[in-house]
Amino acid sequence: MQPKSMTLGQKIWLMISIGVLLTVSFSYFLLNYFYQKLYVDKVEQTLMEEGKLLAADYRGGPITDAFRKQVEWYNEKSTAEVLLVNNPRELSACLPFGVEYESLINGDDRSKLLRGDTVTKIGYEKRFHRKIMGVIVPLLDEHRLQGALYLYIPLASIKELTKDVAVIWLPLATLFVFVLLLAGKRMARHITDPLKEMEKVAYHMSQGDYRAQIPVRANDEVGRLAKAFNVMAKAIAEEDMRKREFLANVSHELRTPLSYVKGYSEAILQGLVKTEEEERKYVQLIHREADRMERLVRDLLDLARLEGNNVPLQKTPLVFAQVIEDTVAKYEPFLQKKQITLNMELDHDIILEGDADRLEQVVQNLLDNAVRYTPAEGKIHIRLKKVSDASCQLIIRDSGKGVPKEKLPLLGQRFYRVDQARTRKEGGTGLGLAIVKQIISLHNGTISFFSEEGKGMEVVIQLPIYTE
Amino acid sequence: MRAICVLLAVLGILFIHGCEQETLPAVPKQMEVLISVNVNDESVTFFDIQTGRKVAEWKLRKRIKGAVLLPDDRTMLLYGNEMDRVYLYDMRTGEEKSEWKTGKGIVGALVSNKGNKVFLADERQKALRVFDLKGKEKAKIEVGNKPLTLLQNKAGTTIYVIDFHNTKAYAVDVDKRRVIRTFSVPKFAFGGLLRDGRQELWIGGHGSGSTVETNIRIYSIKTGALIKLMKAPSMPVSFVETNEGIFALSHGSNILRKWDDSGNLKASVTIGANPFIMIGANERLYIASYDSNEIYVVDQRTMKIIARWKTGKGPFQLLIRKGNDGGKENGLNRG
Repeated sequence: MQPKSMTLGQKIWLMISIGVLLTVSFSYFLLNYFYQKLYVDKVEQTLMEEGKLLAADYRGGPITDAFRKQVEWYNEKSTAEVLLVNNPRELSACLPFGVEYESLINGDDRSKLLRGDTVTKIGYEKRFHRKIMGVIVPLLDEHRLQGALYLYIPLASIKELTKDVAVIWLPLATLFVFVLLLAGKRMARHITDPLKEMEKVAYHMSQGDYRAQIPVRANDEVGRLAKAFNVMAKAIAEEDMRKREFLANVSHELRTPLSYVKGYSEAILQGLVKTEEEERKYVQLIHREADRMERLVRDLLDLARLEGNNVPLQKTPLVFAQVIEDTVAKYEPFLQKKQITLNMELDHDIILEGDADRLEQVVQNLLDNAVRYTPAEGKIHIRLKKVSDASCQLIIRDSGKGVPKEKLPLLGQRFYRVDQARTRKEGGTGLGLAIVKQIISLHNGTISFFSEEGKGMEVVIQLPIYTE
Repeated sequence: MRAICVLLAVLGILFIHGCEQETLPAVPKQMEVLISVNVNDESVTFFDIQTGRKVAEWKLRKRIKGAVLLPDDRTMLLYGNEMDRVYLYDMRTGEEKSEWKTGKGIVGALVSNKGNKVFLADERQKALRVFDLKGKEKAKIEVGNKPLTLLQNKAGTTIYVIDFHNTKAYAVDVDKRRVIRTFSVPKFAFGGLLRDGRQELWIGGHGSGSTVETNIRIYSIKTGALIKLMKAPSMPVSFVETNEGIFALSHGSNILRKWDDSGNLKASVTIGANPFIMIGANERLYIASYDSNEIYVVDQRTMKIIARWKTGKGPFQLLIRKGNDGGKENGLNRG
């Protein structure tokens, strides 16, 4: 059986717990160590200083009664026990004879003292039947060890002090650990809760529900992830909606010409057409609708290709003004027919790196729209100019009826038409601007629309200039 | 094959050489020499007694505790209670002459004044063991369990063994090979002086427990009775009697005292650091200062320090070897 794996929350909490316990136990040992070390060192230092000061009063020769009295007096006043040892037996003077006597000062101590060194003792001392911290200072007269000052304090008092510390420290530490563990649990939950919500929302999304949003509680990594998640969810929802709309639009756009074709062809087949002239009219209508369908399918295919980037652009340096002029030339008959005045201000020095056919398609689509919506005897103005060393602008302005401001952002969406009824008549597919937008984007440019209702429309395309 | 033979021969020579006793520096034979046996660095130092010049030093690396000179005045016998044998060295060549397998526990040695025996005190066998000069054990007389001090009368007929532990001194008749008298002494009694003429035995000591011995005890060798206590604080352990008087060295207080023949204190001076042993010769006293690793040379009459000679570490016993030109008097060979 596979062991049940821990949740992230449990892992975080476990890590925090281990950290807390380690920290607390480490601090305990550190505290103990430093306390003992510092305190014991301090005691040793004090004893050493006292001993040396007392020894400084010894002037050589045998130990005098006066000195002994002085030490005894000091012993009464001092917190430490101070012994003056001058019994040769206690000083291990008879050591080489093996006198079987437990001297206060053993052979090793004696040789240290003879060298003039002090001796430090920590631990159990048989003679005092207790653990002590002691310092022995020699009283030397040349090489003669006349005596020694033995200063000590029982270690018990030091131990008691550490016990006092433990009494205060232990409950505090327990409380600290408890609080930290609780806080750790809350923290772990705080971190993992948004993740759990994200998990839930992701499940919902997989079921097709894009409405759910994750509440953003903080601006940390998890908070930002939640934000990004929400943005993503919104984007997916929009994309989903667009897809539905697109499908609806495509089926609608195809159904209309199809129903024309079907209706008129049925009429002809059933012999409902009386005259040849009428039949010719019907066939013309069928032909027109087939044309429309063809255009629609071509545009759809075009758009799909551009969006999927299936057919890479054939980019070459080209004079943009030339492309525009060539395209405009095709429209001369339409312009004359509608008596539209066309003004052109083109900068022939501007060179772009682009796909000539696609750019021509852009100008054609835009001009298509301009001619279509400009009334008879209207005006169209085309201008190509440099805005900086790196970019240029193509502005196409017409004097049509324009587009309401609130609808400007919707321009360029597939199948969007400002005036549904009219365009059907005019024969646009509703994909022209979407294709333009896509081509411009593939040329690293931008497109923007400006309009005031009734006063015409202005399309501004900004493109980068070719630099060698 | 030949190469192997050569190699084996070389190895054999090296092996034999390795087994050989290393030769110690020889001691010049003509001069009178003061010998210091040092227990802490296990060495023996030899001084020209006239000039104080160090004439030789032996680093023995053996746990020696003491030594005696055999009557030929060229052989030194070294012993120690943790060695399982005693070693005999020829001072003129520095070579080891022989070893006597005595077993561990030898704590004292004395050469008979008659010149034909060596007495070894054995703390393991609790006996005074008698050897001839070839190392053959002749007799064994039971004494106490730590017979540290050995004294003998001029004639060499009686040996006094003072025990360190069991508060007894034994008078041993050498010819009869038995203890003829015992008398009570304090615990940790150590060092003594036999005054044949006055029938007195002076005994020093360390004192027992934390009590420090401050007296010299004088016993009658006839009766074994305590005759007199003589103040000599603290811890009198070494004695010398010469024409100048009686000298006693107290190691606890580093004091050398001098009495006249009738026991009147004549002088006392502070000498050395924890001195254990002294020896008298040439109107001088040679005192081994244990803690400061020195020999103090003191004039017997003026009690003034004449010289200080550096020894090895822990001088614990002093001996004098007479030169070829003949010495005057000899002090005491401590057991």
